[in-house]
Amino acid sequence: MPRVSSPDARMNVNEMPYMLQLLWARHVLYCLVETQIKTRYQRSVLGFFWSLLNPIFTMLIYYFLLSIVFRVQMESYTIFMFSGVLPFTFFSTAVSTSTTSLVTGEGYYKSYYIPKMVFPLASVAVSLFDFAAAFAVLIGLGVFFGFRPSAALVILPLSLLFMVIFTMGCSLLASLMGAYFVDFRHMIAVAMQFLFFATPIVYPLDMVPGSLKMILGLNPLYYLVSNFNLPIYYHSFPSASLLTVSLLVSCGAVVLGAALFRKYEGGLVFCR
Amino acid sequence: MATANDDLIMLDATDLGICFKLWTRTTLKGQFVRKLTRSKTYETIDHGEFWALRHVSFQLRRGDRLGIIGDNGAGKSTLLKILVGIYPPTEGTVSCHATIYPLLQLGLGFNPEVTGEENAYLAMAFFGMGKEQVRPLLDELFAFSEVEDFRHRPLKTYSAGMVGRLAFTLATAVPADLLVLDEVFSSGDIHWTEKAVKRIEARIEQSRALIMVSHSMEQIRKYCNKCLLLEKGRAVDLGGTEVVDRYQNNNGLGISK
Repeated sequence: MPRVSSPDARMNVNEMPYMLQLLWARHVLYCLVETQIKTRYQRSVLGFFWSLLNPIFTMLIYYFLLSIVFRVQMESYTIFMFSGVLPFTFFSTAVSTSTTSLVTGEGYYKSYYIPKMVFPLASVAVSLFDFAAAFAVLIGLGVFFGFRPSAALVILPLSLLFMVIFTMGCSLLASLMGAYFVDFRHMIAVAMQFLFFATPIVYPLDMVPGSLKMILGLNPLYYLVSNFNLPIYYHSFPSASLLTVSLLVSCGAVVLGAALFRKYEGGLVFCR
Repeated sequence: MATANDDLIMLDATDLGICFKLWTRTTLKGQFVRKLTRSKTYETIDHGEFWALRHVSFQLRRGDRLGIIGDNGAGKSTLLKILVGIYPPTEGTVSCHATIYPLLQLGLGFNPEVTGEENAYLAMAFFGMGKEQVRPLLDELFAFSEVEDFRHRPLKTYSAGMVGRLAFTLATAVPADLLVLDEVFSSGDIHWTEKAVKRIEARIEQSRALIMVSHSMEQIRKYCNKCLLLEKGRAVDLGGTEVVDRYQNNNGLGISK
């Protein structure tokens, strides 16, 4: 038997500060993400290429339906829509899969001590992987549908950062809700559909009557999606005020999500 | 074996207690059916409380080998789960100055869809080990568990015995400061059991302290120098291996406390 020194032999994991625990658990997070992505394409012939093919077909379908059949008057409508659909899909997939993450992870956290945040965070990471593939398609294939690069694209990493932080906060909350209330898992699909239409993704903001614009302003995703929309479709930088609101909204979500998660994660081993 | 650090406290459990809330949640359907049929099948039981463990205190010093014994349902496994941090205690505190590697329910966290190797990475990640640390161990791990041929095949193609062997091998892959064992002297054919016992004895040897739960008094006598008897969630006896004698005598004579 080879002798291996046990890592950090001085302290037990559940007595470390939580941030260090998360650092300690990074290998678990990594393995969870890897196995989730791998099992999805296991034994399929095209494997990973489905991650690219899916957005390609979606794009073609939307183009055919909206620009050719319904003749939407907006210039390069496919690009407009995709610049919103992709970040929204990242958000909705991450939050939806998070709701069951603590249910499927039960076997793990009932046999070992582990900071339970890794399970919803793994869902976010898997969804981010899909987003990256779909985004590559948008850029690559988008040229045929009227996508023109501009200097404003340099803001995109920041747009994505806000979106990821916001999604992390929401996923932490959703995972708790999904574990404590079974009904929540059924509600989330409806909620996401509502959110999709409550965010200016398939319609531009100037189509919305003034009184309703106020209500749209209450939807945090409106700001976060605009950060993608503006540089990709409108070739313009998001305004400083838009970025400030995005910063506040995303940090607020993650702080609230993490605080509530810390408060209720201890009860998870009992509630299920 | 005596060293200057012999009196070092590795684990300190003070007045531990855990309370499970028992209730059957009424579902909408349940309420509806009850209203319609007036049947008692869907009756709600209100928050009952069940103290699976209460007022349990003990200290573990370097070199201690503690055996926990007691009847089924006495709270032995629950106590281990509190000690390793899986259950947060309702009352009391545990402070631990060692890395614990719990060997509780073996193979509970396995994913049947991915290969044995990927399961090995995941299982070792729960001990805080990254892939680059695990990779050099893999050959030995798969050779020992005798599933070398199935290393790159999904776990669902394994027989129950193979899963059990791999789980045991992974759980004992690295030595721990404080080893926590819950009836993990795995069963298998004679040849395997012999190998497994040797491996776990080596791990006990390397550890600085041991806590084990077992129904085999023989094992407790063999590996432990301290013993804790639990009865309905209370610690009723704590001492050396004479506790085992008292427990056996009480049961043998049919005297119940």
